[in-house]
Amino acid sequence: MKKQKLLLIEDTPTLQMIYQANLANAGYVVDVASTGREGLDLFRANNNYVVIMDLFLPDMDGVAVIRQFMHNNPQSKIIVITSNGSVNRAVEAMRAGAFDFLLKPFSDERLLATVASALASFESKAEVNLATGNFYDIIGRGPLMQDMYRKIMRIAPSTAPVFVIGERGVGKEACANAIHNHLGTEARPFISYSGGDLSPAVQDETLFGGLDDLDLELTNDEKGALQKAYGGTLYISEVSELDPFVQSKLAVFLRKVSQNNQYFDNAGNHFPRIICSTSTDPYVLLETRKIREDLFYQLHILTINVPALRDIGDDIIFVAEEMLKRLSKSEQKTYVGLSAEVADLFLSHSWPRNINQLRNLIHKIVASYDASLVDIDMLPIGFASDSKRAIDIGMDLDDERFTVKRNTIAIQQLVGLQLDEVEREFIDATIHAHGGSIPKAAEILGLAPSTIYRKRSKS
Amino acid sequence: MADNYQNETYLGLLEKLGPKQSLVLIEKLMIDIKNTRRGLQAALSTKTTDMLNEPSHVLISLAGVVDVEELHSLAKTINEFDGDVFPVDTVKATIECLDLWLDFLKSDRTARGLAS
Repeated sequence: MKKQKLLLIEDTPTLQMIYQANLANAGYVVDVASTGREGLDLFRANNNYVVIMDLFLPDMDGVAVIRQFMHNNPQSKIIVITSNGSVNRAVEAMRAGAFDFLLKPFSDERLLATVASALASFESKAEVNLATGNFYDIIGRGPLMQDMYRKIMRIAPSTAPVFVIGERGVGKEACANAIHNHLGTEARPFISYSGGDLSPAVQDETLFGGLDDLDLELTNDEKGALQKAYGGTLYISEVSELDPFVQSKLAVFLRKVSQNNQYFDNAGNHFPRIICSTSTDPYVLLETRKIREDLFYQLHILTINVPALRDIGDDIIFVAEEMLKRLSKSEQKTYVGLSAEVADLFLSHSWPRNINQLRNLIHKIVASYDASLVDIDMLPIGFASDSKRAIDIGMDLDDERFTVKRNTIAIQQLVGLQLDEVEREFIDATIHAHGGSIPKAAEILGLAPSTIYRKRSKS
Repeated sequence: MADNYQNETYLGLLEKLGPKQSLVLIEKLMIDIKNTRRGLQAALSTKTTDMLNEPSHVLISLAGVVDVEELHSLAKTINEFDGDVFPVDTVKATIECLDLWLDFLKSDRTARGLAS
């Protein structure tokens, strides 16, 4: 960690020189800024995780700068330099997210010990940097992704169950993994369970092993997923695909745990945190009885939505290029980005299978061709025509005429259907476009959610 | 008085930096002391307590890093000052100390400049 670049923001030249010399002597590489603005620019450009800064800056309020740092990367460690007369400001800085403060004058040893402590506490979160769009295994730096990262960081310390919601292929397991990993680096199991294709008896056996629903003590060496996850996290993919009996048994366990605070296995590991996923709005699952009510209310405490690829806007280009670079590295190729035409197509494509589809496409290209840019000729046949027909129509996506023509084509395709049918299709499409959320679709359509339920139940 | 400024911490710092960088540090120190002096003088001439915050904050650090005890103590008194009447005597005494420090640094820079 000593090679980690530190950022020093100090406007007094003498102090800047002395602090920098001390840190450099201790083996650190130091980026130096004299103003808050310079500091923020360097922070964004150089990905600094540990910042040592004076609270009195010539151009900006030091506490406001700290807030900016924390906004860009909540994992960064800010060490504030202050004097006795400004202790109140230091307290304010700590409230804004500062890691520690150094009271002037401080010894070299104190400076180095504080930096070492900040780096040590950061070490566990080295995979996180919101500004550069790196969050464990998830890629993306746009506002939707950043909101999701912040929510993950907020809910990670809780022990409450989490419902991860998102279309198929958006990376719900990666989201669950990030929640698990964000809690710390100590070895804890993350067990992923998917019982969709299994018979009820096999689901019971593989999920609970020898665990009896009357007791949470381990009774069998043949551990099921739940027992393997003790001390860590159990991720249940598509929870509604569990058999009703299995759902009921899980609900009993969760109720017991919530009533008795904690359960431990023979080795003293606590009952696992449950994270489950669904590609359908949980309330629809409840309404359509695909999830038992008792289990729903045990699980539906914290929710997190993973955005669909088509909804993240320009960020898709960043995601695609990051993925391209990583795959290119592993395949020992020299790709650096997408051509402008491919970038346009990616932006207009609907990506029905989301990030999985994008990863698959990029991997195919990287493995099949040698080039530095992904060119339109490398895309599979039909990809371009699927991209909202933008290229075929030959109009810019921002062109109003294109929207009108596209809408006309879409309406013509509906001619011949009954009005009820069109309404139903339209409602379904709106729900689908909003990640399966009926409340969101209702808001867009200007209807009450109950009206949507009623109209859909007629079909 | 020179011993007050030419102390172990100051000498240790210069040794750590080497001859060339030592001259740079002395230059920077002189600039910062002059700026601090200017700030204190401005506060003194208008008797504005709020104007003491910034120069005293910087001075605590400067005097602290080179271990000039008397100045450090004066700077702390000013920085933590919470009274109604402007601390004229303390500020004047601080400015006098700063002048002495500047004199010392000027001669030390000359000596070291010649030596290197």
